[in-house]
Amino acid sequence: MKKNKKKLVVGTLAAVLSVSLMACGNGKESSSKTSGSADISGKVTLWTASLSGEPFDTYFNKLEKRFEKLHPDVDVVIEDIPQNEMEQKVLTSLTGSNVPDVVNLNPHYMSNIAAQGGLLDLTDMISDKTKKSFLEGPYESGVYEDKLYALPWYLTTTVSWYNSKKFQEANIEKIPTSPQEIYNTAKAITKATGKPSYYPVINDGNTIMEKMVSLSNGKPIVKEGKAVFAKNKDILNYFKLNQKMYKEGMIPQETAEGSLKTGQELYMTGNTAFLEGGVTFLGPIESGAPDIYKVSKAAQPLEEKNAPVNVAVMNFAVPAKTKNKEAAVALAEFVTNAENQLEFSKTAGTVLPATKESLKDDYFKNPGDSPKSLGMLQASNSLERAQVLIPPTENSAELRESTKNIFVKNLQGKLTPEQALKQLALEWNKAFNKSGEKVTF
Amino acid sequence: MNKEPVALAQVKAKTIQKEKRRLNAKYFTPWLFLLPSIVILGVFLIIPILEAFKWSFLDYKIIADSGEFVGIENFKEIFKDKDFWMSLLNTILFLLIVLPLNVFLPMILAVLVNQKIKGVATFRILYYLPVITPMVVAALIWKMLYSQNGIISALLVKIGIFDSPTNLLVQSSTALIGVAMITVWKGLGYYMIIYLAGLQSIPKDVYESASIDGASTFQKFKSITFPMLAPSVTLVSVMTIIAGMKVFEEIALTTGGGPSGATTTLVMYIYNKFMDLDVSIASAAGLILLILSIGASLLQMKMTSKNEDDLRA
Repeated sequence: MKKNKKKLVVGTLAAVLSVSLMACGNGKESSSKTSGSADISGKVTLWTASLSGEPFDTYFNKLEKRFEKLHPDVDVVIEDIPQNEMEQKVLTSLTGSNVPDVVNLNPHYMSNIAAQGGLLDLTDMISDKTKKSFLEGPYESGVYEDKLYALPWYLTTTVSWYNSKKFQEANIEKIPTSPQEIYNTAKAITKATGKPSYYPVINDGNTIMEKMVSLSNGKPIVKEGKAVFAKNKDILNYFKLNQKMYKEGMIPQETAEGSLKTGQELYMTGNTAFLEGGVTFLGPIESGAPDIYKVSKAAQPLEEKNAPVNVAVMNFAVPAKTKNKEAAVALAEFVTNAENQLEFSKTAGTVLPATKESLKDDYFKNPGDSPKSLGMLQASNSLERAQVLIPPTENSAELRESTKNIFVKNLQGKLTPEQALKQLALEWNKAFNKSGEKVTF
Repeated sequence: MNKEPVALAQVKAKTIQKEKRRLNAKYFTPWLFLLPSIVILGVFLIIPILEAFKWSFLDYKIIADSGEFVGIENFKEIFKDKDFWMSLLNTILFLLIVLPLNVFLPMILAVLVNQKIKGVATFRILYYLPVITPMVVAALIWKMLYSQNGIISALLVKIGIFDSPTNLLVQSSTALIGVAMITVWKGLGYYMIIYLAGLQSIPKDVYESASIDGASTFQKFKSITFPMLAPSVTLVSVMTIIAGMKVFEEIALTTGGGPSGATTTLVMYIYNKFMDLDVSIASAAGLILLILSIGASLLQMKMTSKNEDDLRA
């Protein structure tokens, strides 16, 4: 009798737990069912990253209606996820069954997810005509291990931003185009204003990696998965001068944190006079520090004229677990077509389209004369030499992390520039050995 | 003739049935009350722990939901990873900074706000304010205070600790101290309340006797207050150790684990590995943290029972 009662209690508990677990399960069965019919129908959810509010709400509403008009049986749901929560949300959704059908990802995270089979292989689902409509570099950023996993949506290229008032105070008329010129400019401005003047954006290490590729100007820094930059004089000089600028107070100490957001805060408070960033850089400055915004000017990146500059790509990928493959792919194609990309770029006012056709529009030659528009003009000019400098790799996170850590150690004088480059090469080689990737960039 | 045994049998049957119902109620009622906790703990704690245990022995791909058995390879990799050792060292250093401050500062505050003076309630509220301040807000305020041009930096130059303005959060030698100060500030009011409860349970006549004997305020604190607060000290210590092992929010919001990993603690290390989709390594490191936390909890239980024994003696 007692045994039976025990069994009953254990059984009840097991049942309750099983039901709870089923609710939290990954829904393998349901996710394996995909629409087999040729006509697309059903619900498709698209996730954008930090694009809520006006003017984006109106743009996406129109986009949604146009797609639903083309495909009356499809119900489009567009949801915006804050950028800083995107990776976490995507990861959580992909491990469960409630996945979005189309998701806005950056190429590095895309490659991480693609490496684990989380994304739909679009290679045979997208026509050659569509593939050829994109700029080559941005298109390649959606390719991982020879398979297409994402379509490029919009681009931001690096430009330089400077406070023209501070440049005037220091009698500087020319924008620096080499590490030595950056040093000279920063020194003159710091001397004239008594404040730090240059902020090298580190982010999570990616911008330093891109800088290294730009500085080596055509010579690969990684060959077949082996770091070959340890003796590159230009990169070494860049590390040396950054250390010197930090030591001499031209670079603010907050650079060790390194995010563009910190750069914006320092620029707004007058503790930085020039830096490199995307066209979106001035966004919070326009409202947060209107006086600084008015004297802000954009120029080409702080590189030699022929040096390649990075283009940051935002793309759309389709999770492998989507329950509506055909509609998801159709929506991704629709959102990224030339017409919609052009309209999106005009709406945002700070990004460039990734299709060849939309870039021919007059808008990119005469975007206006506000500081933001001038940045847009510089960005579209630099697009000619813009490339995806770092290809998506599985070990991307390790490369970026070690780059940030070692660059900061070099900046703060904990390592000599020579030691820093040697250590960085070692860390990169270790990461490539672990992932077995034989990339060259 | 037959009536009596039938009635007896009926009474017996009723009694048995009643007893059965009573036993059933006795047996099932506690389980009924425990069920919500069991389900919640099972789903959100036990099962994830078991899953993490399983993943730590696999080369697990979380998105593909598959993985090969690799034995203790993940643990070997962790023990070879200098970042893991650095995060463990940072966690220990963090505890060493936070523990004495969390034990003594709230105690002093509690003694101060335990006085019967006008307006003391206002101070209690003020000291408790950081506890209810959201960490995001606190982190923003502290980042501004710590900045190279901030008040703290200027103060440190003024009192001669630094020659030039220095942001504590971005120097690898001081970043951990900077973050620890935020933790201490945030927990001050909470631990003060624990001490306050301890103080208010000390019988007043003990102080009165000491006063009659001519004891000074310091002597009273040393010989009465501090020993009588021993259980609270144990509680605060153990709570600090456990919270310190799991510290994450303030680090993620202020330094992100930097500069150069100087504030990357064990939880931060696990989080980074998880976000890089290195789930097996994250799970293995999580198990190590779990073992360390269990160790701290056992220590708490041992110390608490020892204190109780001492007090009884």
